[in-house]
Amino acid sequence: MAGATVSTMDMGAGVGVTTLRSATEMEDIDLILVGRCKRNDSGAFEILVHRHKNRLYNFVYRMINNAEDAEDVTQEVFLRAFTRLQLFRGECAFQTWLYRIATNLCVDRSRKIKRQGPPPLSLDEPRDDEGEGNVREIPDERSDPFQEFARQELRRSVQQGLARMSPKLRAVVVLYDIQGLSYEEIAQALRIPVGTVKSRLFNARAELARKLKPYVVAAQ
Amino acid sequence: MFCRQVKRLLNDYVDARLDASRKQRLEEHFASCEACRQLSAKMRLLRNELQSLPHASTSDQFLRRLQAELPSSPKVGFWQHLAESWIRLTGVPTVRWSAAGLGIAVLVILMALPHLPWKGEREQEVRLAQSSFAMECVEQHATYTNDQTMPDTITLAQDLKEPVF
Ligand SMILES: [Zn+2]
Repeated sequence: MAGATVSTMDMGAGVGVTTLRSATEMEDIDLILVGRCKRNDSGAFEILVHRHKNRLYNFVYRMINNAEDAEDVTQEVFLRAFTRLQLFRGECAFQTWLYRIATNLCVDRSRKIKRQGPPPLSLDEPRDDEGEGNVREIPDERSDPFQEFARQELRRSVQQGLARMSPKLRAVVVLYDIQGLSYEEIAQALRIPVGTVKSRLFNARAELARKLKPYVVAAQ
Repeated sequence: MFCRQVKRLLNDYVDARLDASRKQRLEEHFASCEACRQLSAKMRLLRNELQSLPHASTSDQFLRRLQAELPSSPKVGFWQHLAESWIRLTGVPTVRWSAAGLGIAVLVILMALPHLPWKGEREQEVRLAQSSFAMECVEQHATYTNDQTMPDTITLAQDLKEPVF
């Protein structure tokens, strides 16, 4: 869609421009785009997808720990958002609404998997813009080999801990520590009180922290 | 300061959001409590690790795949909402058999709907809702008949205070 490409530039979805804009400005632009979608401007939805797909994909990936399935679930999030757009009244940010849909889908999915039996623990590294995920796995020759081992053990332990955590705790810690949402935004996305967000964050962090072996902590 | 009070402040401590006096009282506690000091060190390390995890991006085919799946217009919201509310309502384990029966009955009624004298956009709306609802009824029915130990399909969603869409 040529029209959509031009609008994308206008709306500041280009990577460099986006980072310069404030959160409120981003939300305002989203609301304008949602309004256009509701008036059947299909190009506007494409821009919304372009603006949110990577953030949302990263969230889903961390929630379900499987790169391929994460892409399917992220597709489903946008399909649901599209068909239910009339129900979005702007009472929260569009991004928050997307996170709400995504969380529900991820929770549904883990419930289904739980029903089918224990999941195969996949710790595949995600696709990365700069291929950074792979580069990081190559130990730096100048660094202490033990420290490097401890660092890898830290990452493995955190990813495994996340994968085994209950989805409702995982959602909060991923949204806060990885996606960078505020307590208030998480409260809106999950429809829980701010106090519950705080206590779940503490419980999630404590659960992950307790799994860290003492030598991992000592080596940092 | 008691360990219980420390735990209430740990989130803010590892996020560096405590005021100076509370921070000092917390650190005084750490000097005499190995357990809280350990937990705090681990939580700080954990937080840094979570924040430094590489960010994943969608594949190059993502947009193309999505475009192929998108319906032409976002107008099924109400019908889908209605269908899914119904599914959620009847997901309660104690009524699962009657729900399955009711599901089939509603499916039959919905199948008959296009034969009613409705025209144009409304008819299309009904057909869209009907097809997605029909799929969910079939899926639901399959779940009821195959899975005798129907898990609590609503507990987790209730934990998340139920979506509205
Ligand atoms: Zn203590």
